Amino acid sequence: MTDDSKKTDRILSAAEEEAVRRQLAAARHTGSMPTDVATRLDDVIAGLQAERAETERAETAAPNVVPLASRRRFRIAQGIVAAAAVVAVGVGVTQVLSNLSPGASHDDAGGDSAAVTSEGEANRDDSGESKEMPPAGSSSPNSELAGPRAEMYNAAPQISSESFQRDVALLDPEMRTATEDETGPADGLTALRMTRTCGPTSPPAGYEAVPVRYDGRPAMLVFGKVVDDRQRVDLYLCATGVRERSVTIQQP
Amino acid sequence: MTDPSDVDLLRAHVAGDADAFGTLFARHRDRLWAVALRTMGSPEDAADALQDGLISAFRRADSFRGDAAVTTWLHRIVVNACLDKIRANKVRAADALPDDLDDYAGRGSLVSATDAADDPADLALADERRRAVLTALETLPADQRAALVLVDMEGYPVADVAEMLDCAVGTIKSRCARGRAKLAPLLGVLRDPAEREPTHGNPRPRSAVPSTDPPRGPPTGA
Repeated sequence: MTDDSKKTDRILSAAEEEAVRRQLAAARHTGSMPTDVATRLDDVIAGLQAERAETERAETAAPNVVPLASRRRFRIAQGIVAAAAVVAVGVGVTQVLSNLSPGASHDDAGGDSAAVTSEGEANRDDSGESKEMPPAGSSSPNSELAGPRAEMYNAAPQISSESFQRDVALLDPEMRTATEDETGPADGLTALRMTRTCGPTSPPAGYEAVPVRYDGRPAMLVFGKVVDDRQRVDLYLCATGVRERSVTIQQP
Repeated sequence: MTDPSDVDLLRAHVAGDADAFGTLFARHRDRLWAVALRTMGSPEDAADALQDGLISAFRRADSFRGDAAVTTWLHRIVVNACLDKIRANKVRAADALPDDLDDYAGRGSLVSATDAADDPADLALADERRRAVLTALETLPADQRAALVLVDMEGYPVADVAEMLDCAVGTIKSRCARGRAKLAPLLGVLRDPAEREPTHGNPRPRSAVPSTDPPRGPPTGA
């Protein structure tokens, strides 16, 4: 046993204990919460409140729905979503192919916008019904989304609220630090599209947006810039578009 | 008209009041921040843990039974979020040092008002001591650290801390005692008598023979 460990094993005298307590008390943090942290937490509360209001609205609206009409609208919505999916996938494949082909022009921004718009419209058409789509007892991971976006989220990594930090840290490092050059135009296009339709805004340069499923719900992880081997990660729920959680992870 | 109590606000939140939780949190956020900051060591981790605790409290408000004060309940949730985060951080090599002094010293009220506050040299010495305490605190196991932050730093009664950490009063006392014993040599409290500066009064006698008694167990009485 070392001298140090002998020291830590000993029982302190009352005076020694008091000296330690005095030093601890003197090191107490007496300042207010920093403004940036307070603002961030106020945002979180606002997001939680919006989420709760949305849930309550959905729950109060549900009993008023006539089942037969609902089913009929569901079938119509399914048709719209299927049609939108075909169009969007077709456009997407065309774009990917044109991007991959040598000498491909970069005038596909309009095409992308069109695809995004059609997805957005499909989603808006169906948004009122989407919560009724999964049968009772099922937990469709994409009940808040529909069509092509739902398809994309099917393959998204799972993030659990219980192990949020660990799950984020375990994401493929290439995924969370990806640039368009590294992942190819298709992934970059997908991330951009996702951010436009599910998240706050397009992430600024140096940030990366990754679609995930958070407790089964479509969400977007936005990875910030790495500063001193630390990286801030924010999670936005697609249902509310507000930041749900944040974590600072250590770069491996 | 008097302000609503914490319990009233929490009940109003559960009943659907959109502003009640924000008001409740605003009341206690500085103290919760202090606890999270000292338990986690870095402002980034403290903010993350506090956010996790906040979300948990918002969603689990209906689980509050009124057995303890609302502030005790809030502290319990935040401290548990901190401890969860510390455990999660152990997966990776942790090299975070308490850096809030650098980050937040210029924001006004971090440094407590003392008689020496106007003297830069004394202020620097106080900061150095504080940094030494925080660095030493980092070396403790999370449960001992949390107990010391709540009892010795924040000044909560042991009984309240026992409720916050959901354990027995004796356990809190034991954690505090063990934590202080570990901090003592790191803070220069246990210097050998030969290294000590001359002091008034009789020096503590040094035991001639090392004790062979087994370590003292937890108190058995009430």
